[in-house]
Amino acid sequence: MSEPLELHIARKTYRGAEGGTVEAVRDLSLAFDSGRFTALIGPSGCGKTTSLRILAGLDHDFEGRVKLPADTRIGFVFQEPRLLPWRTVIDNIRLVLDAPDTADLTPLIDELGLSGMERKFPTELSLGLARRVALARALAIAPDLLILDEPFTSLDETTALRLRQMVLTAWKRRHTTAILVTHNIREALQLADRIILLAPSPARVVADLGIGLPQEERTEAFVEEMRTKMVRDWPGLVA
Amino acid sequence: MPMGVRSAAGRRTVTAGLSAVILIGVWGLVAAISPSRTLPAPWEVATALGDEITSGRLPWHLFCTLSRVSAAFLLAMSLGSAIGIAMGRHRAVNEALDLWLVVLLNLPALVIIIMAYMWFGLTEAAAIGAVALNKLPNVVVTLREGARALDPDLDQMARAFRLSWRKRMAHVVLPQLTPYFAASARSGLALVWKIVLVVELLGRSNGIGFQLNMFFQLFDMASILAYAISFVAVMLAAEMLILQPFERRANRWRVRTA
Ligand SMILES: Nc1ncnc2c1ncn2[C@@H]1O[C@H](COP(=O)(O)OP(=O)(O)OP(=O)(O)O)[C@@H](O)[C@H]1O
Ligand SMILES: [Mg+2]
Repeated sequence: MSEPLELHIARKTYRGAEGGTVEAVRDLSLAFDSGRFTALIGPSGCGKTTSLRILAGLDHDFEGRVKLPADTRIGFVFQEPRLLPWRTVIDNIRLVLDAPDTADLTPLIDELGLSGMERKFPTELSLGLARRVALARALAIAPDLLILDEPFTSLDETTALRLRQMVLTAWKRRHTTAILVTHNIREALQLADRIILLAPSPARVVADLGIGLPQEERTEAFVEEMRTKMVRDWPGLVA
Repeated sequence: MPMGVRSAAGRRTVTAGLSAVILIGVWGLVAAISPSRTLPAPWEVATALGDEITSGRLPWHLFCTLSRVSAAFLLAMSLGSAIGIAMGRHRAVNEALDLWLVVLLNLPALVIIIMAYMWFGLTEAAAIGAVALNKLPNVVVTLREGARALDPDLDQMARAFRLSWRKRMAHVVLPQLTPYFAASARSGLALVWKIVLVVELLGRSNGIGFQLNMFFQLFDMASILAYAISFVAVMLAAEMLILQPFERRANRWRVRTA
């Protein structure tokens, strides 16, 4: 995969409950370079989840176009864990594999701190643990495109830090194209090499920043400095 | 309690047993006070039951009826589920079949049975088909409801990970439909065995329904009760030994909050 992924949404409307229509996205164009880690930051309700769904080919009911190779393996971490409640943790992960019998999931399970949880049902897990299982499921297929829709919310900072490290490792190892939606600017500054700021509904690109410094060289001071700068330049959008 | 029955299941068994004993006691008392041909005493029924079992007649007719019940039940459940799920998932299928569903729902069982016998003769296939057709619309309606209630988020997850049709069915769709299967199986079994007796009475030469009709001609109430009771006992056992364990297994993952 070397071609950039392209997404152009001319118009996306939802049918409201009372028959009216709600415009979720209008005239949004995004391109994601292959192998890069892009963070999308935008206010709640501006259409981030909607755009990701369209990009992944899960919603065809829109005006516009998507350029995504048909055989792209997509690892999708949804905003909610979306695990099958009637399957155990391990079965939830195995489900998405092409060859579930030959795959060794132990390293992944260990890395995500899920060992001992394999036989539990999702209803027995805390939300934080369920999020880790959802992340494990997405990483298990060795995706070409990793889509993360606010994957680290409701996790304590230590766990979130560890999981971010894991995502970073997985991304580096396979040169996956990664897209992360987040409200957490520090998170974006730690992980991404490109940050796209979106305006409130309907979504529109306000800023597109590249971060040249490799992730492992980014210190806390660097992140804080960048954050302060961004808060100054885009007050109201960045906190 | 002297025996110290603690578990809820144990208590339930004791209560059920007690109420059965009381019923039989009252029955025996009434039969003793006013003896009549239409209300034989419990021991007379027990004697008739013993005779029918040792002669091999009751096991044979019970076997015939149970075979028809299972054949019609399986046919109605599998066909009805497939149609119901298709109707719930695809609007076009629903629109095409909805009228027929309403017709079938409102057609009296007797009409279907008579039509089946007249068109296809007094055959086993006509008998089983007629029973299945009576049960079919209920299964369709229940599973259509289930298919409409499927979680679209999980469906989306399945599509995002490109799950095959088989995997989607086995792991995403069917588990969500388990309560609907259980509901239609439970109401279905009760309905099917009642209709099977009618089918046997009208056009078969074996089975419980055929025997009941024969004893009716002979005005032999003891034998009628013997057959009825043994049949109810078998259906009760099927409910407790097959349906309930299946439901418990399928619901293992639900966390009990109560
Ligand atoms: N299924 C739906 N039906 C109707 N309206 C919807 C639906 N999904 C989203 N919307 C609307 O579309 C808009 C964009 O929603 P979307 O979920 O994409 O926002 P978001 O940027 O992901 O927000 P958040 O950060 O809160 O997750 C919102 O106004 C929302 O109310
Ligand atoms: Mg969202």
